[in-house]
Amino acid sequence: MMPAFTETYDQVLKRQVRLFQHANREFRFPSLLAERFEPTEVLAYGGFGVLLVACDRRVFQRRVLIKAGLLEPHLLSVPNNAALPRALDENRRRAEHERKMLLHGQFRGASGIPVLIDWFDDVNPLVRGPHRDPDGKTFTNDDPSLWGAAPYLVLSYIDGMELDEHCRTSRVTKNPLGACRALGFYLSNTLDIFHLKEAFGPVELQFVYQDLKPANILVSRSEGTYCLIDFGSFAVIGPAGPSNAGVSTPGYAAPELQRLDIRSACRPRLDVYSLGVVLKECLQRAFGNLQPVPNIPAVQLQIPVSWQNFLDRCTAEDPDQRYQTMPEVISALKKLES
Amino acid sequence: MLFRKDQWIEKIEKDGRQATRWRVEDCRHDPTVTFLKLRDEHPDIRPPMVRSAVGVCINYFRNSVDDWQIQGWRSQFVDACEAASGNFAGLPEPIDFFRIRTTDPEVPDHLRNGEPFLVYCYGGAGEVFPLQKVWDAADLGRRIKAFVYDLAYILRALHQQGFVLRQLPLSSLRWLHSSKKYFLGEFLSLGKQGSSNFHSRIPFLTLEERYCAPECFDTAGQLTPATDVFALGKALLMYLGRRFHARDPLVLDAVVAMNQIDVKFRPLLPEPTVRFLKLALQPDPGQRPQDMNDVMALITGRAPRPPQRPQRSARPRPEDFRKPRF
Repeated sequence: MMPAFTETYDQVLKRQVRLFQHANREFRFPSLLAERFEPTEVLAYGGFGVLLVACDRRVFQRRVLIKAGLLEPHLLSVPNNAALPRALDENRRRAEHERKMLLHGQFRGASGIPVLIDWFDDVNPLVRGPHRDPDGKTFTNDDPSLWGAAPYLVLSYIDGMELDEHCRTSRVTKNPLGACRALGFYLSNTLDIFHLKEAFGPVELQFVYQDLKPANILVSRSEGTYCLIDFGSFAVIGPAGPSNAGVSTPGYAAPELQRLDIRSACRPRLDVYSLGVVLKECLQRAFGNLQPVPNIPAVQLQIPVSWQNFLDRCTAEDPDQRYQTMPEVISALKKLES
Repeated sequence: MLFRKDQWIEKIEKDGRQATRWRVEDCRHDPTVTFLKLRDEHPDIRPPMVRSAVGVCINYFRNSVDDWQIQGWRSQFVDACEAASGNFAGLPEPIDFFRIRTTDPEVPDHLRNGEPFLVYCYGGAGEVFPLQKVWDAADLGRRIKAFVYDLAYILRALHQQGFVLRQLPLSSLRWLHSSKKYFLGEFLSLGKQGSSNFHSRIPFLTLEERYCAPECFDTAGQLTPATDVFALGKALLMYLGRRFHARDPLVLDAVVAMNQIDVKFRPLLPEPTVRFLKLALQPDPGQRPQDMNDVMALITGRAPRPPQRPQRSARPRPEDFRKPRF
C-alpha cells in the first residue's frame, strides 16, 4: 500500500518532514514528533484543527490521534503577515483550553471521552515554508519563534464512525428508539459530569459543551460505544462569568444565544436543547431520511407520544420550558419506551 | 518491587537512569503484580489540577524465582501489554511503556535493569459487585443481558485481533458511570489465540484456576474464543452471587455450579440465561458456544449454531518454541 505522504529532509530544521495531501490541502509535519509519534495519515481538518493518525513508537506501535492547529492558507501567502502571530497565539490558546478540559474530564471521572495521552510542543514545518506569494515568488518564514514550538495534543485512537453513519447501521434501524435512548443516556450522563458545579481550588467551576452536534460524536465500530470529541468548545463558568462562550453551530445552537446576552444564556440548558436536536436528527436518519432537518417538530416524527413530548420539551424555544439540568433529562429518559 | 510514597519512577535509558514525569501516590501488591497509583508531575499540570494514572509491574518478593521464570513472566507481561495497546474501546488506554530497575533481591544483578513498566489511564470507573437485590425478573433479565453483551462486544473485538483474555474475575471488571457500560479494568491475563501451556514449568503471571477454562492449564489445550466463553460464564455466575474459592479443584467447581443452576437459579433466571450458562461451563471447549456471536444469540434466546465435535488435542508446533522475549 502506498504511503499517504511524501518525505523530504529540511536543512534548516534538520528533520525529516512529511508532506500530506488531504482534501486539496497540503499539510507538513515532522516525521517523528517528540521523538515518539510518527504521523501516518491526515484524518480530518476543520474548525477544531487538524487530526492526524500517528504511530506510537514507544508503546508497541499502537495508533494514536494527534491534534494540531490549523492555519488558513491566506495567512501563509504573504511574507511577514502580521495576522500570522495572532493566529498562532489563538491556536495555542485553543490547544491549552482543550487540554485543560480533557484533564478536567479525567479529574471529574468522566468515562467515554478521549484519553489525553500526552501533549508537547514541536516544530511546525508548514509555517516555515517555503511558500509562494501572489507574484509567484518563493519565501520562507525565518523567525523560529513562529514555527519552533507549535502545540500538539495526543489522544487515544478511536476506530469510530460518525453518528450519521452509525444511524444507518442495522444496530440502530432495528430499534431506533432503543438506540436513541442509549445515546441520550450517554450524552446526558457525560455532560452532567461537566455541568456539575464543583470546587476547584478556591473557586467553583462548571462547564457547558455548547457545540453538541452529530459531527462531534463518534461511535466505536467494534463495541458500539459513543465518544464525545472536540473539547475545545466547552465554556468555563466561574465566579467571574463564562469564558470561551458562544462557540456553537447554527441549527444545533439554542435560540436564546441570539436573544439574550452570552453571560445569562450560557447555562447547562444550552446542551439540553442541542441534545434534543441531535436525537431528532438521529431518529430521522434511523427511519431512512437521508436529508434530516435538525429541528423538525417532533409531531412529524412517527414516534410514540411520550417521545414526542420529551423531544418537544428538550427543544422548547423558551429556555424556562426546557429540562433545566441533565438529571431531569435522565429521569425523563428512564420513563421512555424503547 | 517495593515503592515508597512520592518516589519518582525512573526509567532505564541508554546513558543511565532518567526520572519520568510519574510519582508514586499509593500502591497495591497482588501476589505477582504491583499496581501503583501515579501522579503526573508535568509542569503544565498546576495545582489544584491532578492527573492520575495507574502503573503496573511485576513483583518477585513473595515468590522464589529463577532466571527462567523471571524471563517467562516478563514475556507474558509484555505480551499482555502489547495486546492491550491494540486500540480497544473496552480496555484501559496505555499511556507509556518503559523499563525500570527492579530492587527485588530475588532478581539477579544481570536481570535487574529490564523490568517492564506500563502506565495506563486511571479512568472514572467503579467496581463491579455481585447483585445483592433484584426487584423483579424483568430487571434481572435486563441486567444479565447488559452484562453479557457489554463484555461480549469487548471480547469479540479482542478475538478478532487474535487475543484471548482467559479469565474474568469480577475484581477485574469496571462499571463506567457515564456510559453505563461494563469495561475491563485489568488485562494482564491476555494471551494469544492458538497458544497452549506447553511451558508448564513457568507459572502464569496472573491466571487463577478458579476463573479459567481447563484448557488454559492443560499442556495439550489450546486457547480459542471458547476459552473466554467459559470465563464469561463464570463471571456471570459470580455476578449472580456465586463464589469460587481458590481451594476448589479446577473443573469440578464449574460442574458443581452447573448442577446448582437448576436448584438455585432456575426459578429466577430467564430460560436463555440458564441455557447459556449450561453450555458455557462445559469442560470440553468443543461443546461450548464457539464465539461471542453465539453467546449474544444465546443470551437473547436465538438459536445458536449446533455444537461442533470435540477438538483434537493440539500438539505444540515448531513455531511455538520461540525464545521468550526479555
